[in-house]
Amino acid sequence: MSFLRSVGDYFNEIENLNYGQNWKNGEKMSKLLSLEDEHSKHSFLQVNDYGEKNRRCRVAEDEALDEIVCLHLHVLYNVHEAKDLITAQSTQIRIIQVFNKEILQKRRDENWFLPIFYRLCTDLRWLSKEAQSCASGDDEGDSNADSYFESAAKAITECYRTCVSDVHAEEGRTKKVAMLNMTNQLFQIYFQINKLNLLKPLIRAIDNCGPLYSKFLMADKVAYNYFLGRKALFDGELSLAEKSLMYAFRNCPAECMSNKKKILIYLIPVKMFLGHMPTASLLHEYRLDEFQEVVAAVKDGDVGRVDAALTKNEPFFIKCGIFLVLEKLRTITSRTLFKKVSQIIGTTQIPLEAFLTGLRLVGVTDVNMDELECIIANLIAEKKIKGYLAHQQQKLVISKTNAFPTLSSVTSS
Amino acid sequence: MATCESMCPSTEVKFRSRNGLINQLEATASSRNGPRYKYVADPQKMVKEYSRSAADTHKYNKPDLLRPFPVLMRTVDYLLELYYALGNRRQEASSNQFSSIFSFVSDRLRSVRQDMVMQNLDGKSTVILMEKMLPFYIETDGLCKMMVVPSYNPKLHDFQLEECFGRWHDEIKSSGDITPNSLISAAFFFRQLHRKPTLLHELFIFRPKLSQDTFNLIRSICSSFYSNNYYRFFCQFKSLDSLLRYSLSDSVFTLRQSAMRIISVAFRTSVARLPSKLLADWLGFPVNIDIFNVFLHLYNVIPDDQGNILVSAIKLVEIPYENLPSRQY
Amino acid sequence: MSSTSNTAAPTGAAAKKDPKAAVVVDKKETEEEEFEEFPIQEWAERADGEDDDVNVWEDNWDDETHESEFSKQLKEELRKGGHPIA
Repeated sequence: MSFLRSVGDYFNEIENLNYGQNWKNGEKMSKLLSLEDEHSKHSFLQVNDYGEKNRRCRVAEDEALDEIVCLHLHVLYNVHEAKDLITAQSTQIRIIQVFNKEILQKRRDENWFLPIFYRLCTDLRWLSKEAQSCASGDDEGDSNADSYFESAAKAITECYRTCVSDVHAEEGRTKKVAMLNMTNQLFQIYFQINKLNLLKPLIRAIDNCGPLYSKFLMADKVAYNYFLGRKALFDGELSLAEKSLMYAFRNCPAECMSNKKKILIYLIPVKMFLGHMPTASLLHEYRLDEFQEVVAAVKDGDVGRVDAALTKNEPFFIKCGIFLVLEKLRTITSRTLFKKVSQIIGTTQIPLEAFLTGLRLVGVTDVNMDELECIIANLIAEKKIKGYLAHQQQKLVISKTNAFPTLSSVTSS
Repeated sequence: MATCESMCPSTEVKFRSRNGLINQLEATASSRNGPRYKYVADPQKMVKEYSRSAADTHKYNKPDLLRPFPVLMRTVDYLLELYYALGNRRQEASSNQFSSIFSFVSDRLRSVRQDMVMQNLDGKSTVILMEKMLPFYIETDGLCKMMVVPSYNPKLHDFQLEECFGRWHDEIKSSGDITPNSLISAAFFFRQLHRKPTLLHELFIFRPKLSQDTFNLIRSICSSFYSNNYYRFFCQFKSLDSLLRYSLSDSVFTLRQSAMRIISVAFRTSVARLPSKLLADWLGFPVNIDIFNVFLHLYNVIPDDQGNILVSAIKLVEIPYENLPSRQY
Repeated sequence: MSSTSNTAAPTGAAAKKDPKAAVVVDKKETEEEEFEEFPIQEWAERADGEDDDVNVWEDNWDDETHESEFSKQLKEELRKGGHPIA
C-alpha cells in the first residue's frame, strides 16, 4: 500500500480499491478502515465530523462507503485526539448500522466487502472494552455495568440476521459465509459479559448449516472451535469440549504460540479429567508450568498437593476461568489414591479406615468416615470404582477384575 | 422529583376509599372485621399500591405521587414490621393470616420499587432499600416452598426476587464503593446454585466486595454442591443462618435427589440395609423422623421394625419440583 | 518461574519473550482473554490423528509398574495403621 500523505491520498486509495470489487480488495480496504492500521496514526486523518465539511474529498459513486469512511475518520479523531472512547464506540456502532442498512441489506449477490465488515466488528469490540473501562471509572454508577458490550452485541446481532437471511444469493456470493465470523465475535462478547446461554441459537445454526461449513475460513473455524470448547467445558460437556479444543489445537498454526497456549489452557484440564495427562515437555514448551504441580499431584493421587498447587496458582487459574474444573480434579485424584490403597491392601474387601489413613497421609484431615463414604459413593455412581460400600462392616467391596477402570474408558463425567 | 410525604398519596386514598378497594390490613380497627365494602381507610395504614398500568408513565410520574427516599424507607420499615409481627413465621406459614400479610407486603414492596425506578433513585439508596426488602422475599420464598400458602404464586414471586436481586447486583457491580451485606450476597449466589454451573466463576469476580469469611463460606457450599458431596453440604447447611437455608431451598431439593440416586447405587446389594436415621442426617432432614419417612415414601421405601431401609428397594423416581416433603429442613 | 505474562504485561513483552512467535503481539491486544487474529485466513485442515506433536498426552501414568516414593510412604503408613498388606 502506498504511503499516504493527505486525506486526498487516503480517499483515492479507497476509491481505487472500490473499483475492483473482489475479496482481495475487500481485505485491503479493511485495513484502511481498521483502527490498528498505520493510517490511523496520521493526524490529518483524525478528523471530527469530516462528512459535514463543505469542501471535502469524497468516495465517488458510493454514498454508503463515503459515509462510512467519514465516520471512520470521526472515530480516529475521538480515539487519538479527543480521547473520548465512549463517543468513538457509539460512532463505530453507527458505522456498523450503516453498513448493515446500506450494504448488507441492499447489495444482492455480493459479499466481497465482508472482510471490511469483520474488521469493523473486531474494532467495535475493542472500543466497547475501552469504553467500559472509562465508564466504570465514573462515580455515576448509572449505566448498566455491561452496557457497551450489550450495545455492541445488539448491533452485530442485527447484521447477523441480515446475513443469515441471504438465502437466494448466487453460488460463492452469499453473505451467509459471515455466520461463523460473527458467531465468533458474539462469542467473545458474551464470554466477556458472562451470557453464554445467548449463544445457543447461534451454535445450533452452525451445526445445521450443512455444506456451507466448507466455505468458512480456517481462521474462523479454529477460533470457533476454541470458543465452543471453552463453553462446553463450562457446561460440563467434556466430550464436546475435547473434540472442539483438540480440533482447534491441531489446526492452529504452530507459529501462533499465543493462541495455541490459550487453547491448551482449556484443553489440559479436559484431557486430565478424561485420564490423559499432559507431558512435562508439553507444559514447558508452551510456558504452562503452572500446571506441572497439579499434574504431578493428580498422577500420584496426592489430594493435599493438588489443593496446594491450585492455591499457589489461584490467580492464574481464576483468570482463565478454569478454577472450577480444576477443583473437579480432586475427585479423580481421590480415585487414584484409593486405587493405590486397594492395591497395597490387596484384597477385595478394604476397610474404609485404610482410605482415611491414605487421606491423612496426603494432608486431608477434615474428612470423617461419613464423608468418606459419600466421596466413595460418588465414585461408584460415576463408575470410576466397580464395587459397593458395605456400610455395616465399614468396608469397600470391589470387583475382582478392573475395579478401578482407566479414566479414559469411563464415559460419565 | 418526589414529593409525596405519606406512605400513600392522598389522591389514591380518596380513590380507593370511594371504590371499596381498601385492603383489610389498611382498614381501621373498627371497620376491618366487617364486610369489605364498608372498610374505612386508616391513614396510618394506607400504603400505595402497585400499579399495573406502569406503561402510562405520564400519569404516574407526577411528583406528588412519588415518595422520596426517606418516605420509602419508612414505608418499607412499616411493611416489614407487619410481617415480622407474625412471630414464628415457620409455624404461622400455613395460616390465613400469613397468606394475607404475605400477599399485601409483596404487592406494596413492589410499588416501592416502582417509585424507585420512576424517580431514578441513585445507586446507594437503591442498594439500601433492596437490602431491606430482600430478606422478606428470600424468607418467604423458602417458606412457601415448604408449605402450602394460598396466595403464593411461584412465577410471580420468582420474578420479584429476580427484580430485586438484579437491581441490587447491577448497582453493586457498577459502583466502586458500596459494600454489600454479606448474608444477602451469599443468598444471591445460593439462590442460583442449582441452575448455574458457572456460578463459581461469577463468585470470583464478585470476590473483592466480600469478606474472606463470606467468600469462603459461599465457595465451600458451592463446591460441595457441584461435587455432589451431600454429606459436607448438609453438614454446613444445618449451621447456616435461616435466611441462607431458605435461599438454598432449590439446591436442597436437587441435591437430595442426586444423593438418593448415588446412595441407591453405591450401597446396593440384595440384602444391604441402612438406618433411616442415618440417611435423614446425611440429607439434612429435621430430627423428627416422621418427616423423613414421608420423603422416603416417595421412593417407595418404608423403614422396617429396626428403623432400617432396604437399599435395593429404593425406586428412583422423578420428584416434581413443587413437592413439599422433599423440601423440609 | 511460573510467572508468564498474565497480569497487565507491558506492550510487546509477550512477543519478545517467546522466540518462536512469528506473530507480533498487537499493541491493543495485550489482553490475555482475546483470541488473537491469525496472520493468514486460510490453510489446509488437519484430520484427526495428524497431530503435530507426538507423546503429548500420557495414558499409562495409571499403571504403576514400579513403586513411586509416594506409594512406599503409603504402604508404610498403612502397615503402621495395622492393616494387613498383600
